[in-house]
Amino acid sequence: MSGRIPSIVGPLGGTVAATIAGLCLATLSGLCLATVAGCSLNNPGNDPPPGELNFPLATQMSPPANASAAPGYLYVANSDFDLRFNAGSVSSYDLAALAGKLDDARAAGELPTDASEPPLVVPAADVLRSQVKIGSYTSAMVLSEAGDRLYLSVRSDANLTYIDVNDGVLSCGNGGAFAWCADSFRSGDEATANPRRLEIPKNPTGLAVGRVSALGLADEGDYVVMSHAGGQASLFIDRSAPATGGGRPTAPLLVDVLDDLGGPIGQISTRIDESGIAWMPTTDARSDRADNFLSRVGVAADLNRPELSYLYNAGTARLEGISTGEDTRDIAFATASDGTNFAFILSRTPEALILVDMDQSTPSRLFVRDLVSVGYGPSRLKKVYLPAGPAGEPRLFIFITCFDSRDVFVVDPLSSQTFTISRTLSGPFELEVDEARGYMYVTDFRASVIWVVDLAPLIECLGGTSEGRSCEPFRIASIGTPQPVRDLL
Amino acid sequence: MTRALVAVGVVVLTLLTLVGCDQDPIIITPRALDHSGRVEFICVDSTRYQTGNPLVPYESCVATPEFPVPDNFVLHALVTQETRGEVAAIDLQQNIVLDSQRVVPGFTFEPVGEIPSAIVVPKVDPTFTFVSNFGQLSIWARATRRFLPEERRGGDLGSIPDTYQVRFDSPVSDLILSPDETMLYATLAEDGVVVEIPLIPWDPDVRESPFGDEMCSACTWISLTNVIPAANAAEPRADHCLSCPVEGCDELIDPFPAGPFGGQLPFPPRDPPTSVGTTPRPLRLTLDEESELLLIADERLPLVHVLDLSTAGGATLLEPLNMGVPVQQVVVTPAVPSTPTGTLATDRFLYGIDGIDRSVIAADYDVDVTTRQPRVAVIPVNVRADQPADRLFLGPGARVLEVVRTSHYIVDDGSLEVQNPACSTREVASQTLRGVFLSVASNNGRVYMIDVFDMDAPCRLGSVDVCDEDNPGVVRRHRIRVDTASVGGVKTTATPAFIISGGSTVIVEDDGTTAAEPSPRVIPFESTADNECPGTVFQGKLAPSGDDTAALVCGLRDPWSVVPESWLATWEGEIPGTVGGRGRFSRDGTDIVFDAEVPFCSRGVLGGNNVASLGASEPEAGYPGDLLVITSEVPERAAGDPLGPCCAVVFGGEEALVQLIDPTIEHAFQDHLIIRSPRVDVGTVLPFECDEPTVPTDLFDLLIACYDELVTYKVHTRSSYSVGGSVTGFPHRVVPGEIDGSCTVDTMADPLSQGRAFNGALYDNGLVSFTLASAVGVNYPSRGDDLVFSFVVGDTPIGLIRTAGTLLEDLQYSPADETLYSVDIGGGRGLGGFTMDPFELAQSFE
Repeated sequence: MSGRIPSIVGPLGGTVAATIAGLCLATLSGLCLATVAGCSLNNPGNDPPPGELNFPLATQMSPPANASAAPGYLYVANSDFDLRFNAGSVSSYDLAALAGKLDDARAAGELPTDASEPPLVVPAADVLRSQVKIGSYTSAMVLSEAGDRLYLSVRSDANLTYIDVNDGVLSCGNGGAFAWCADSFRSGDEATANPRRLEIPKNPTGLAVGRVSALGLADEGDYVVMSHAGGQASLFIDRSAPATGGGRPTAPLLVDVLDDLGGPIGQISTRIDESGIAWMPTTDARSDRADNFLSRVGVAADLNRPELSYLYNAGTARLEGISTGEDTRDIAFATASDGTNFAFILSRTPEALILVDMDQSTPSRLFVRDLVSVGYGPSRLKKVYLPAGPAGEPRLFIFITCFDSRDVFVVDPLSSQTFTISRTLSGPFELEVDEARGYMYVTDFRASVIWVVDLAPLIECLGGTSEGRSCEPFRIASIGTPQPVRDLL
Repeated sequence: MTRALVAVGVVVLTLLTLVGCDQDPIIITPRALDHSGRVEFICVDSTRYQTGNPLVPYESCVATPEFPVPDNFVLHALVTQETRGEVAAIDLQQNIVLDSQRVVPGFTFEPVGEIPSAIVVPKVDPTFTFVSNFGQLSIWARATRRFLPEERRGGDLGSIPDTYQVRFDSPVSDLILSPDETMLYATLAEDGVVVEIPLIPWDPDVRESPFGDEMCSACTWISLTNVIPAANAAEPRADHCLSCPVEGCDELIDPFPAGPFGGQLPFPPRDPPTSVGTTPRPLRLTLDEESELLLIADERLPLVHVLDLSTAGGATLLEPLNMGVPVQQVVVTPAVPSTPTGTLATDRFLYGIDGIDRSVIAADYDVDVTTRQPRVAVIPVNVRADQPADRLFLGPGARVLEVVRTSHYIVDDGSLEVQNPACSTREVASQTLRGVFLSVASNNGRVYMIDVFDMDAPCRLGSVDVCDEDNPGVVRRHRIRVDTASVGGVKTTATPAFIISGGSTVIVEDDGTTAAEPSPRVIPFESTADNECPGTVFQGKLAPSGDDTAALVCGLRDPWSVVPESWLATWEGEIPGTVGGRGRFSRDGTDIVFDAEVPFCSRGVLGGNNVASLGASEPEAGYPGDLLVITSEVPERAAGDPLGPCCAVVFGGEEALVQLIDPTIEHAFQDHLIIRSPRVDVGTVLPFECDEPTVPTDLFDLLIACYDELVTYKVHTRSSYSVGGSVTGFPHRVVPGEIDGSCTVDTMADPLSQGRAFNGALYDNGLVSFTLASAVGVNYPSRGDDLVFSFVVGDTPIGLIRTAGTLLEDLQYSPADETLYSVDIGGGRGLGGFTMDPFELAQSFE
C-alpha cells in the first residue's frame, strides 16, 4: 500500500485514485504545453526605443573647444538595469540645443524660479544627437582626453566597449541611426586578441583613462585602467591618435591583468592621481577581505614594446583614525593654494567626504585631516572649480551624489564645510558640471531622466550677489520624462 | 465524517496560519534625527505647557546645594538638523524626541532655513533662538516656544513672536552671545570678519525684530588682522602628576628642555609660525566668561583673535594670540590649582585643535587685569622623538573640544580657594570625573577625556596610604585620562626572539643568546655605566617580566608617548615604501642611472655620497649606501638574440642581480639613483654564454642591455638591520634637497631618528633601543641571510575613551544635569549623553 494512492470507489463508479491520476496527468500535460509554447528560444527581446532613457548611470561631457567655449555634448550610458530591453545604450545630447530650449522656456516664463516649482520636461528626442546600443549593465564610462573616444565597462559582456565620437555622433562599427556596436568594438573579451593570451576578469567596474604620452610612450593614444569587483585590475593600451574626420585606426588592446591586488576585493571605481597611480575605492564590506584599505595599481609602459606594458601592485593604503572606512566609493585629488596635496575619498561608513592630507600620509597609511558629513548613500564625486569672490577666483568644490537621500551635496573641502545641497533629485548617481552655462547635469537612476540643475544660486552666493536668497541649486528641467521605479524607491 | 474532515482541516489551517505568523514582528521605528549638528539647552516649566510661557531661564534647571531643581523644570535640548534645515527639541527628563507636528507622519521639526551651522539661546531670556542659516546667508531669530510641540507651547499662542532674520553677503559659520546677552557675534569666514549684532529686547507690544532690520543696519563689522605678533616661551613648572606606585611619576620624562646643569629651560614657541593663507578666516567662537573675552579661532592664520566684550558700546579688538599654527577651535579652562593637591586656583589653560595635523595644543593662558590683553604660551606635552613636543596626539584627529567643569569644582572669587576639595576613593574612581577636564571628540566618533584638575586624584593616587600595588594608576595634566593601567607599566609583552631562515622562531635567552646555530645575539643592558639603558631618553627597562633582570630591550615608558606596536629589525631588510614598478636603467656618462617613481628621499633612502660630507658625530656618517633590489624577472628576448642566453644566465637566478654585482646606491635623489658596484672583480665572472661580439663586456652595460624595459624593484638597507615599528614605521631624517632633489640628512632633526641598526652597535631611535651582535666566531648574519629580530611593546594604559557615534560634530557640557552631550552627524546616535560618575554613555537619541 505504501507509496500508492488507495483505491476508493467513487460515486461515479471509477476510483478516486484514477480520477486524481488522470487530473494530474492532464494538468501536467497542459502546463508542459503552455511552457513550451511560451518559450521562444529565438526571441531576441525588445529593442530599446530610440531616445528613451532607461536607468542612466554614467555620464561624460565633451571637452570645450577652448577655455571660453561651452561644451557641446553630454554622453549618457543607459544600463538597462531592469533588462526590459535587449541592450543598454549610449546617447549623446546636444547641449547647445538644450540651452536654446531652456532659454526659450525662461523667456516664456516656463522655467521654475525656485526649488518648489516643477521642472520643465524636455523630450529626450528633441536634444538627442546620436545613440548606439551596447550590452546591459554598464558600470562606468570615461572619455579620452582628446574627447574622441568613449570607453565603457560593461558587466553583461565583461568587456571594455569603446565608441568613437565625432561632433557628437557616436559610431562603433555598424551604420544606422541606433545601431548595435560591432563585436570589434568590444575588446578585451577575446584571449587571442592580445599577445599574452589574457582573458579579462568578470565584473568590470571602474575605469580611468590617461594619455599614453604620460607613460613615456611617443604615441598620442590612451591607456585605460579597469577595476574588477573580484579584486583584479586590467590594463588596455589604445595607441593610435584620432584620425582626421573621426575614429581611430586601432582598437584598445588588453595588455595586462593583475589577478590579485593583495588587499580587499570589491573595487568599485578607479581614479588616476598625478603620479600615475590608479586608486581603487573598495565597497564589498561583506567580504572577509574587506577592511579600511584602498587598492593602488601602477602602470609601467614598455617603450619599445607597448603591448608588453604591465600593471603592478603599488600597495594598499589604509584609512586610519575614522570609525570604519570599510566602504569607499570614489576618490579625487587636488592641491591647495598652500601647496598641500589632498585626496578626497567618498565613504559610506561613515557617510562622509574624507579629507586625506597626502603630505602627512605614509606609503601605507593615509592621514585623515577631516571629515565632512554628507547625505545617505553617497555614490560619486566630482571635482569642480567655481568662481568665487568679487574677482571670481576659481575655488574648489566637491559635488557629491547621494543616491539614498536623493540629493547632491556641494562641499567646500578645504574649509570642511557643506556649502549647499541640491535636493529633490530622485536617484542621482553621476553628474557633470557645465561651468560655461552654469548648469549641472545629473543622471537619475531611479527616474530614468537627466536632471538639469541651475547653479546660478550657488554662483551668486559665491560672488556675493545673492542678496540673501538661497544658495541651493535647483532642478529646472529634465531630459526625458521621469519614470519612477517602485522597486528602487 | 465530512464534518470531522472539515474540522481537521480548519485546525490544520489555523496551525499553519499561526506557524506562518512571526511572533516577533519587526517594528520599524522611523529615525527622528537626521544629520544632527549643534546642540543648545533650554529650561521649560512643565506646569505651563498649556498656559502662559513655559520658557524659564536656564539657571532654573541648575541645582545648587541650597536649591534642588523642582520636577516641573525640565531640561530640553535643541539640536540642529543640518540637511533638513530644522531644529529638533528633545525632552531630556522623559528622554523623548518631540514631534512638533504630530498630524504629519514621521517626526517633524521646526524649519530654520538651509544648513543651520550654529545655534544659541540666551540663558536668561530664551524668547528667541538664534540660528545661523549657512545656506541662505542669514541668521534667523525664531521664537524658542515654536520648537516645542503645540501642546507644550503654553497659552496665548498668538503672543509667540514671529521669525525674524538678518541677511549677509556670505555664510555665517558660528554664533555666540556676549556674557550679558545683549550682543550676538557671528563669524563670516569668507569675509574674514566678525559681525557684532546688537539685540533689541523683545517687547510683545512693539513686536520689533531683535535685529532691528534685515540689513543689519545697527551691526558692526569687525575686520580681523593678519599681523602675527611674537609668540611666548612657556615657563618651566613642576609636573602635575600623581601615580600608584608613588614613584611612577618620577619615571616619566619631563618634556621641558633640560639645562646644561640640570633643571628646566623655557620651552620655545614654534618659529616661524605656519600659515595656509594670507588673510584671516575666522571660524569657531569661544567665550572666556571669567575675563569677558571672545576668542576667535582662525583656520588660515596661526592666530586666535581676541575681542574684549567688557568695554561699553561694543567690543574692542585686542592683539591676537600667536598659536604657531592655524587652529580649528580653542577653549579655555577656569583657574585651577597648579599642583594636584593644591587648593589655590591660579592657573588657566587654553586648548586648541591644530588646523593642519588635528592634534591638540595645550597652552598656558592668562589675562592681564590692567590691559585685559590675554597671553598664551604653548606647553610641551609629548616626548616622542618622531613627533613635535608641543602636541597631544590622540591617534585620530580631533574635531571638537569642550571643557567640563563639574558642579563640585567651586572657587571662591575673592580668595581663589577651591571649595569642597573632598574626594572619592571608590573602585571606579578613574571613571569618576569631579573637577575640571577637557573632552575631545575625534574623527573616529569617540570622546577622549583629558586631565586638567581631578579633585579625586589625591584620594586614590600619589601616597603609599592609598596606593594598592595591584591597582596602578596615574593622573597627569594635559594627558589622556588613564582608565586602567597594567601592573609594571609599559613593557615588552613577549620575550624578544629571532626569526631565522625558514621562518622558525628562537627565543632570546636572558644572556642574549639563542639555541640556534649559528646563534645571533642581543647584548643585554647592564647597570654599568658603559652599557646601561640610554638614560637621557629612555626610562626603565622593557624587560618582559618587568623585573630586575638585565633588559634585552630598553624603551620609552611614558604611557602617553608609547603606542603599543611590534618592532622588527630585518637584516638587510626592505625600507618601507620603496617598492616600485617603473624603474629604468640608463647610462649618463660614467654613471649608471636608475630612474624610478618612488620618492626615495622621503622614504629614507641613502647613498654613500649623500652622507660623505657629514660630520663624524652624525649617526649616518660613513654609511656606504642602500641596496637596490630588482624584483623583475629578466625580460625574455626573441629567439636568436645573442643577448638572450647571456641575460638568462647572468640575471636569471633568484636575486641574481644582487648577488652578482651588488648594486649599492652611490647617490640617491628623490626621483633617481646612481648605482655603483663595490666589487671590482665582477668583470671576470661573465659566463661563456656572453661571449658574443655584440654582448657588452661591461657588467653594467650588460645590465642596461638585458633590462631594456621597466622593472620592478625595492630598496634594502646594506650591512645593517632595517628597523621599523608597526605604527612608527622606518625612522629617518632624510629629505630631498631643494636644488637638485639630492637626498640630504637633515642634521637639525633629531639624530635618534634612525632606521638602520648595525651589528655590535647600540641602536637607539628614541622609542626603543637594543644592541644586536654577530654570532660568536662566525660571520653571521651576512649578505643573503634571512634574519629578523622581533619584540612587541605593550601593556600601555587604557585611556578613558568612549564611543559616541561615527562622526561627532559637537560637544556641550550641560551643568544642569551634569552631562556631556555629543552630537553625531554621521548617523548612529544623533544626540548622546555621558554621565560624569561614572563617565559612560547613559542616553542617546536617534
